[in-house]
Amino acid sequence: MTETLPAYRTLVKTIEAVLRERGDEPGAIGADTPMADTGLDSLDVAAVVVRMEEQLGFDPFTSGNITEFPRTVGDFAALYVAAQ
Amino acid sequence: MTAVSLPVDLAVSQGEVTHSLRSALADIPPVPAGGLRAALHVEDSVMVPAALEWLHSRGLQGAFLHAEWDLERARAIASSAGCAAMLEGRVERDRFVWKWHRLEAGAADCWPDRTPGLLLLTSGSTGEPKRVFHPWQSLFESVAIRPALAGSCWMTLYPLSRFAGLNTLLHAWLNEAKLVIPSAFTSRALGDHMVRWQPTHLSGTPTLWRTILMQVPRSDDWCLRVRQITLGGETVDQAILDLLAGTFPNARLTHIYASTEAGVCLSVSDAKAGFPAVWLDDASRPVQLRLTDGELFVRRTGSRSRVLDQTADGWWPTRDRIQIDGGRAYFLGRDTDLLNIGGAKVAPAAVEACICEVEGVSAARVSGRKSSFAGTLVAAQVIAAAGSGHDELRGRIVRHCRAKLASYAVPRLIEFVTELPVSASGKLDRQGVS
Repeated sequence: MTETLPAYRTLVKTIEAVLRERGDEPGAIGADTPMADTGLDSLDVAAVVVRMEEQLGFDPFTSGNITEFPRTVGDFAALYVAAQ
Repeated sequence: MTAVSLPVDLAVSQGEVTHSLRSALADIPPVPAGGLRAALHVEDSVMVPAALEWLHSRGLQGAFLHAEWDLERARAIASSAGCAAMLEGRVERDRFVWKWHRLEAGAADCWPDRTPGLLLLTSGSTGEPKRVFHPWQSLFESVAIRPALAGSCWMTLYPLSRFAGLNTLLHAWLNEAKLVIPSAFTSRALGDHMVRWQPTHLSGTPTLWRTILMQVPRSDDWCLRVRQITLGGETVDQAILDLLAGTFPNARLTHIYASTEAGVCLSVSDAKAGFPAVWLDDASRPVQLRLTDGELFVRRTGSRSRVLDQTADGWWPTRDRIQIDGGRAYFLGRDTDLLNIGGAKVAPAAVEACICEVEGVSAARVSGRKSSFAGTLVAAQVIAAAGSGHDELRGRIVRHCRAKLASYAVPRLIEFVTELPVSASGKLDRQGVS
């Protein structure tokens, strides 16, 4: 299951941290939650990518191998799992 | 003028520096009749007053070179500026060492005539520095002389080889004040000098102040005795003015807008950021100000020095952008500093000012960070005041900026650091982190 993978947990924690910093209480986030419904705008998502890189040491978006834009939180985490 | 300098426990009087220069110059042939153009390349700020005094007393023209240029670069720039000699000065093993270099003077069109004065050079970080000649008289004109200032103690937080430092030196010089010249311009050395010499008049950039204020013991008797604080060199925001007013409650706060090219253009002393918008288009001001497409243009009445890029009617483009808000004109920084965030333009200085309004922030630097995902992100490096928890402070910065700035201007990445990069002239170095 995606939701037990470390990359997934790091991603959810990072999204929640961004929301809390701005004063929003994060809602329930699951693998099926569309990225657009997390409350993050595109600049926030870009910031999440940078913060993920700081924690994991890599950025799957620099590889250029991404053919489909990740729609859900699970899709997003899968890119990190695939690049590991 | 007397000057004191580092090491902190060792005062150097200006007489010693002048004496060392006189002995060194005793060996060189006399200046030919009709004068000569000499370049000054003085590495240590403490030696600058003696070199300038010499140039001025001999009625010579001189090119004032930047201290951080190496000898080869200095020689090349002096030659191409038409100088036949270069006076080099630096401290070697606690001794003042002066060297006289003969040069091949190139043909240069930067000298209007034989009027004694200084040729100043812009930083020239890209390509050749621009050259602007300032007669002594016009440099002296912008200095207010007040009898009450005689015997006061000034301190420069800027190295003296740049325009802002030179201007501070001239103020102390003409007012017969004492000037504290640190031998190093790190925040630690500046803080030590301040506490040791307790100057009453201080001059520096907002960035230097932000890093030094952490070292100044609050409510010290000396803080109450400080009478004048002059800021310049970069955009002055309300947060730094409030911080200084809190630390030095009896000081007058003045911020100055000046450039190597145009000299001192405006000076504001009401302890508020920006300047009154009514100053724009006021024809009675000695330096007139005008906005064209949001850019500040300046013009001096009674042309003094040759300014490059001037329009035919004497207006000079400063390249600084201005925003009018509530009868006040605020500096937004340069076009070249603007960040492009998804097509929207963001002025880093405005974001820095907003971050610095947050309690617990000492200083901030905003730059663009390339993102693999969304072009460029607004990234901030922040120095937190002692005792601030980073996670908690990060949240307060984000919420404050979201309340005050457009969404695209809100810093999305905030990193806490202990020091910010500062250029040779004491300004925040805003080149991007990646």
